[in-house]
Amino acid sequence: MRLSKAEIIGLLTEISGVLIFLGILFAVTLLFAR
Amino acid sequence: MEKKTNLIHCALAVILSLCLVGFPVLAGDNSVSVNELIENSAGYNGKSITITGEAIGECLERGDNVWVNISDKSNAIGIWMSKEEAGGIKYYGDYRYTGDILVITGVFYEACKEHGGEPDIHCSALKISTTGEMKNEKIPVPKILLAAGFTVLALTLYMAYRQMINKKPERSNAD
Amino acid sequence: MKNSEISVRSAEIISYYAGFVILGTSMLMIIPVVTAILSREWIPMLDFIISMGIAASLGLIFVLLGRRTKGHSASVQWRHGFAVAALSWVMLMFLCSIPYLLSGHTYSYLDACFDVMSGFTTTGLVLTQDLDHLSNALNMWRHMLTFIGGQGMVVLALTFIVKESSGGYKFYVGEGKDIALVPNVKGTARIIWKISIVYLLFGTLVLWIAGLLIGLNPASSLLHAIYIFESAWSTGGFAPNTQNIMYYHSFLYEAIAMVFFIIGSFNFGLHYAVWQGKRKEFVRNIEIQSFAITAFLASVLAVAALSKTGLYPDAVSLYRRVVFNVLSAHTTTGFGSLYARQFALQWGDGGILIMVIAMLIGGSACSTAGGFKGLRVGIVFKGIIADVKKLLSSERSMRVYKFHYMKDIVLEDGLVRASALIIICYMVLFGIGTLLGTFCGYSLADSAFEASSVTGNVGLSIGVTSASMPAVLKIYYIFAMYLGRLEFLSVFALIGMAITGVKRIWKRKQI
Repeated sequence: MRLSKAEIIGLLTEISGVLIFLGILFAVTLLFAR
Repeated sequence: MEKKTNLIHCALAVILSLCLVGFPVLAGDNSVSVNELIENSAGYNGKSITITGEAIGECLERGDNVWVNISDKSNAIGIWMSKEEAGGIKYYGDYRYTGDILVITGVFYEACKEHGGEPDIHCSALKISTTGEMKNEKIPVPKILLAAGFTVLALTLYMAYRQMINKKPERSNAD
Repeated sequence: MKNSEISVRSAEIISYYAGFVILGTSMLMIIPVVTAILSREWIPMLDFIISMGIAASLGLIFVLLGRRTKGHSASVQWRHGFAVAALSWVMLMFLCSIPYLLSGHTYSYLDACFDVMSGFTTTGLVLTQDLDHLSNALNMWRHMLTFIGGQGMVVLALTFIVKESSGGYKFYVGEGKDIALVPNVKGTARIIWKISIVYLLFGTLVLWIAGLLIGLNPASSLLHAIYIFESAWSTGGFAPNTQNIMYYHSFLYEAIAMVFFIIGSFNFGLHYAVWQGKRKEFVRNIEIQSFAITAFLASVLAVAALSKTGLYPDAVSLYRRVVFNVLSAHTTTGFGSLYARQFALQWGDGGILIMVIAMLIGGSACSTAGGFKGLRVGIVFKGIIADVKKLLSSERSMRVYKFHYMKDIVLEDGLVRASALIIICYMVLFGIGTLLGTFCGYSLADSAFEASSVTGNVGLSIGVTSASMPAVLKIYYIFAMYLGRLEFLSVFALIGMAITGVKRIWKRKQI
């Protein structure tokens, strides 16, 4: 099974997108923890 | 005379109440279950308790300390202990083995600050009350027969299926 | 005479294709058999061989009964597709629960069926006892069920077994997937599988490494990685531990699980678009937008509510115990970083309400997630806004309202109505579940929490789900999980066809 370059970038896009979302949520949580 | 009796009654009452109130705190010989800890987590929070359970899964090493998960049939919880304390545990429960039964004395935290808010127990004393063992797996004969029987049935039906595919007359039914 | 011939044909068509779905799924039992052999678990091996024999036999019988369908795939209609999906799922529930029963870890056949339906629908509620002592074979099977159920047994059969593909699309829709990624159905199913397999390999690798880092030994780390990945990707929520994800005591493990269960809750069409290079879709898609907004709000509100209780001392605790569970609920995964009773005892009515709403809204359409689906919520929401705008704007202006879902789509009344109707169906299912819970003696909050978990195929429990739960509640929950996952239509079609069929036979007897 071969993965094309677009497919790999797609995979990484999805993962980064979610990581960014989770990161933003963590930042907001930090605000509440004060 | 009356005053003295009163005083004694008073003292007895105080001692009795201390025993009742302080009992959960002193809980030396009385084990709590995991579910009891969860149900009354606020009350047990930060207190020293004793719990009995079977070591399950495996020992998760984190530097000098380890996590040992124990199950007491009601539920399971993580015990935080040192590597040395865990060293004495021989068997961890899974499909094949019954794990060592541990009697743990330690402090219960309903939302442990050190461990990201988890309910856990920090072990102060560990005793192995029963060693674990390998479970005896005797294969029941009925199962062997059933397995053979149904396999034969399935294969027979499969052959009927092959027959059905192979005899393919031209069916010109309009649909 | 002709009418009865047609109705007999329908039964044959349904039997034929359902038979293949059953047969295909039964073949998958070879995986637990191999797992058992490799782990030297001889009794579980026999359990699965027995189950496989029974299931394969039944599947073949169904195919043989419907054999006249062969070569006549053009006569397959929409209602057949729905009925096949609905029927297969019921038959498979009875068959796939046999290994559980033989293992002795369930108190009754009903409990075993409950666990299987929970797996297929990627719910994640558990009635199996003593998970920590389960054989590798049975654990492999449990987690596989969520993976297979998430992808869809019908999709599975279509891809690998059924040779004829002209009626295929209709089965595909019957199982709740309505995205035509490519012109032909087999191609679509294959693509769904490719994306899943790539993520399976990648995700398992990442979890395996993480497992090693947190102290698992290589063999068990691999098994846990497979199980947890399958559970995350399918938004199932099963774990091989009584303590669920708390067994690992690891922020890293929880974070990785979060990433995969969020991605897993997305629409397959979205994955396909992004993987083809249309990366903008990731941001423009109405479901992603809907999810981002509702998930963010729910998390923030829950964090605000829980930080007031003073229970969680720092940000990491708040994140691991609150945000994790809210996202687990919203994506309808069901991994729990708290004990069930803690929701009841520590979260308060506000926290519970937020969870109920998050669970009902659910994830994306055409994904493994449950609930109303973000797409419908987005459509109804935009529909309301459009209606308000129409009211306020001048009668002469003719504005067309659109939303973006893979492509720009016009916000038609019919679409808004269809979305709203299904949402109503879900709410009714949820309402009955809550009512039934209170009748059985559980509090309103507990009943609502559990009912929303069941309706949205989530899997988080507040403590209601247990072996000692009343049988009527177990049966209702099984029915609700099933109805929720197949999104009502398939089941209605099956029931409708059954009633029509019975009526016809009755009429024939009268003549």
